Amino acid sequence: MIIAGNGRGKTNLLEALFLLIEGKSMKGAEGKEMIREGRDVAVVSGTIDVGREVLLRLAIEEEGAIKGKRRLERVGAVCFQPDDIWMVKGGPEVRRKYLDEVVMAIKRGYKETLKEYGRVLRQRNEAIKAVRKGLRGREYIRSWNPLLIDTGREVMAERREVMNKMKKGMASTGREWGMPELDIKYYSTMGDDDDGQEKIIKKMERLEDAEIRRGSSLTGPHRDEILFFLGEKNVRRQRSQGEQKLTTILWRITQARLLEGECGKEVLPLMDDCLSELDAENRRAVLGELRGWKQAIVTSTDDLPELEGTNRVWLEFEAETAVNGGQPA
Amino acid sequence: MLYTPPIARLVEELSKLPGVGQKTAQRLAFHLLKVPAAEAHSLAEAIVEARDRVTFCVRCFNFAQGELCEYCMDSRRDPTLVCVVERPQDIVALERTGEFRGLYHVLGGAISPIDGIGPEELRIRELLERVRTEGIREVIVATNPRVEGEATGLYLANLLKPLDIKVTRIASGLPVGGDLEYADEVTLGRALKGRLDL
Ligand SMILES: [Zn+2]
Repeated sequence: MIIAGNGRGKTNLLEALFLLIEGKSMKGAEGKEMIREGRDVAVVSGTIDVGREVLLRLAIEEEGAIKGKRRLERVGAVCFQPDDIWMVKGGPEVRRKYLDEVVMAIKRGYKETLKEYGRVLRQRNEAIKAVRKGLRGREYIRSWNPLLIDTGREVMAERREVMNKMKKGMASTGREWGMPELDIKYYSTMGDDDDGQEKIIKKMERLEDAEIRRGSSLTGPHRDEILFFLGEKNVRRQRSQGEQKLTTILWRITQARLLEGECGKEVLPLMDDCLSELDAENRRAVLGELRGWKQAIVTSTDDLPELEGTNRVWLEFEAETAVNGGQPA
Repeated sequence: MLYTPPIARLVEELSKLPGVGQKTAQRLAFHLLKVPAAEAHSLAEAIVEARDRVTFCVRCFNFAQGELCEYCMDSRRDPTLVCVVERPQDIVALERTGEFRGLYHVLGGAISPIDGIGPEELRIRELLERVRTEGIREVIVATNPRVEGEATGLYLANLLKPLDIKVTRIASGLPVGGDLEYADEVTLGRALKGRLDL
């Protein structure tokens, strides 16, 4: 437990740990952004116990390159950040990003699959724009349809498989926490899994006029929606802020567990300010879950009664001396 | 650093070459100034000769030294079998396998809307003309294993199938996103043998 008021560097501490273990920023920040203003380099070091003690040290240099990155095969980190709430509150693109992150972590080759799909999509979109300008005939768009379907289906199949694993894990932990029954649904813009290529191509040709008006492709996994339900109610629209937050915490913890199960890694959950906005009962459920882990690092702005018995550390240094990087907590 | 004009010009010209940056261009320029004059002249002549003497084969658009390229002139090759490639370099790679005894057709690239390249910019009309007049039985599509190469293959298949000929695609197994040019002979030979109907 890391307890400290706002601006004391709690988030930065988690960021440094994540960086050390995963070799990248948990906020998706560029190397350069992690260096304190006015300085040339940032250095992070720490010791990790993986049966034996391993010293990790990395430096972010002036141009933003991260030097001394060391991938520990059997160790990983998953972080929860308050911004994760946008996974349920935000638009479909946010949910796709969160799901893709998990798929990439456990499916070898998914990054390539996604890249290839992205390339086909970009080509098809350019073709649509050329048709819109009257430079080419519609055949120019259609020659990309079979490829968009093939690569798109690969993306969807991987996503669905991982999503089902996440759903199973989340639903079973959710039950232990006393949450209403959880469900996740994937809505494909291309159609159902068992739709033949012919049927999808027909659908795409029906949408062609609209695509030319919009100047971009309207079917494919780049437009798919993923929705969370609690007791048949859409978490995005029909559930409280507390339930939304609990759903995202559940997502992160299940992600960590999936990484352990699928990749044989030992994962360290880094939970930034995950207890605020939860009621006492849910705080106990989350803490009970985290106690079951070999190690978990949780930050909080307040010393809550439920924290009794955890290993509490108070950060009392001034923000000035705190680890610098990203936003202050 | 400022060079005397002739050196500056040489560096500038060299840095226009693909894969050559400013630093490499400087290194190459200084190298050329250091070697015996005959060696530098020989390089200059080779460039001029290649540019002036090498033309495109009027039939298949491979590099040639006259009207037709060496494959189109070779009467032992099977003219009913045509392998379609993106660039002349790809022919070199396919020839290394020793598996192919037909003729070629160089498209001059692949369909890529991002680069503004459509079927009209490629030598597809010329290919259709050959299919109509040369008694071709099978067209093997050997475009690069990238999305642009695949799209070009599908486009050709739609165009050629109504003409009642066999259209095949070299088998996968080639590294995706790579160039034929860099595939090893064994893999490429196997891909050629295991070609599938498009
Ligand atoms: Zn020729």
